[in-house]
Amino acid sequence: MVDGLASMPTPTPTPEPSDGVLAARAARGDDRAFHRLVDRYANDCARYAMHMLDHRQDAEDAVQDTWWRAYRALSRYQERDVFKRWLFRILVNVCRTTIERRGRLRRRFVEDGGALAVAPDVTSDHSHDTTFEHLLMRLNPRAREALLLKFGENLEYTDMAELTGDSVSALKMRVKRALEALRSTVEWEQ
Amino acid sequence: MIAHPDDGPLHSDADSGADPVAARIASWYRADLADAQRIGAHVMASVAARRRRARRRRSLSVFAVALLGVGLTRWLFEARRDTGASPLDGRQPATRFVYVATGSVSRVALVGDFNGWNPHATPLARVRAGALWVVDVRVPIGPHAYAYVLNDNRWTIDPAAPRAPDDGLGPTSVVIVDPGPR
Repeated sequence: MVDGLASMPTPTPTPEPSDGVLAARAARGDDRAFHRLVDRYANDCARYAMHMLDHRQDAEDAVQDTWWRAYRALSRYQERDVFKRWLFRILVNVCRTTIERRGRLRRRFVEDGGALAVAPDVTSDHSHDTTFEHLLMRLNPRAREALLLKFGENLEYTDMAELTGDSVSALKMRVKRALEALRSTVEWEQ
Repeated sequence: MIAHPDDGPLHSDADSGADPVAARIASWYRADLADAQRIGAHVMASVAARRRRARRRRSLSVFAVALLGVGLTRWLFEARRDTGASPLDGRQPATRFVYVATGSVSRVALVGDFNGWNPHATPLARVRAGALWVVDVRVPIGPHAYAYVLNDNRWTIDPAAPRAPDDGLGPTSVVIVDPGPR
C-alpha cells in the first residue's frame, strides 16, 4: 500500500500565469485575471504613492486612478514590456498630476507668499519621526520621485528614464544633489 | 521580461545601498506600511464601481446619440425634400487609412481616439489578397492618435505617419484631419 502511494506521481502545482498572460486575458474581459494583477501590484503602487504624496487620501485616489487607467488601456499593453514598469509609468504620471494640482490649489487660496512660506504643510497628514523623513518630504517632488524609484524600487537609470521621460544624465544629477542635501541631515542626526 | 510578483523591486543596481543615505531611504520605503495595504485592498472595488458608472454613461450616450440620429435623419430627409439636395452634401469626406503588411498578417484593425480604441470597430480590407490593407473612415476634423492591431493581438504604429506624443500608455501615430479646400 505504502509502496503504491510512493510510486504515484506527485501532482505538480499549476504554474502561476505570467503578467502578460493575465493582462491579455483581462483585456478580453476576464475579471479574475485583472483581479490577480491587482493582487500582485496594488500594494506596490500604494507604497510608492504614499511615499511620493505623503497624504493617504491623495495616495488612494492616485492608486485607484492608476488602475482605472490601466484597465482601460489594457488592450494597448504589449507583453514585451514589463507589466509593473508599464503600470508604474502610469502611476508616476498620475502622482505628478496630483502634485501639480495640489500646487495650483495652494497658489489659488494663499496669495501671501510670506504666509505660505511659514504655514504648516496641510497637504501632508503624517507627522514624521525624524528630521530625515521630514526633509525627504520637503524635497522637490521630482527629486523625491528620483530617490524613490532609484533606492525604493531599485530601478536602473535607463528604466527610470523610460518611466519618467527624463534623461539619464538629468536623473543622475537629481539623485546626486538630493543625496547631498540629505547627507548633511544624516550626519547631523548621528 | 516578466516581473514576478514576489520580486518586489523591478531591478537591482550595484550602487544602491552602498550609500548610508540611500540605504536609509530604502529601509524607510520598504518598512511596513499599513496604509498601503488598506489602499491596495480597495482598488478592485473602485475599478468595479467606475466600470459600472462608465457603462451607465455609455448606455445613456448611446440612447442620446440614437435619439439625435433619429432627429437628424428626419431633419435631413425633410431638408432634402424641400431643396432636392443630397443629405451627404457638405459632410466631411472620408479619410483613407492604409497599412502595408510586411509579415504574415491575416487581420488588420484600426484603433484610435475616434473609435474608442476598440479593436473590433474598424477592420481594414485587404486589397486583392496582397500586402495592402485599407479602410475609409469619417474622422472628425482635428488631430487624432491611432494605431493598427494586427491579427487581433499585436499593436503597431503606422510606419508612414508621425508618432504621437507618448501619453504613457503605449506608442501611437498621429493624423491631422483638416476641413479641406473650401
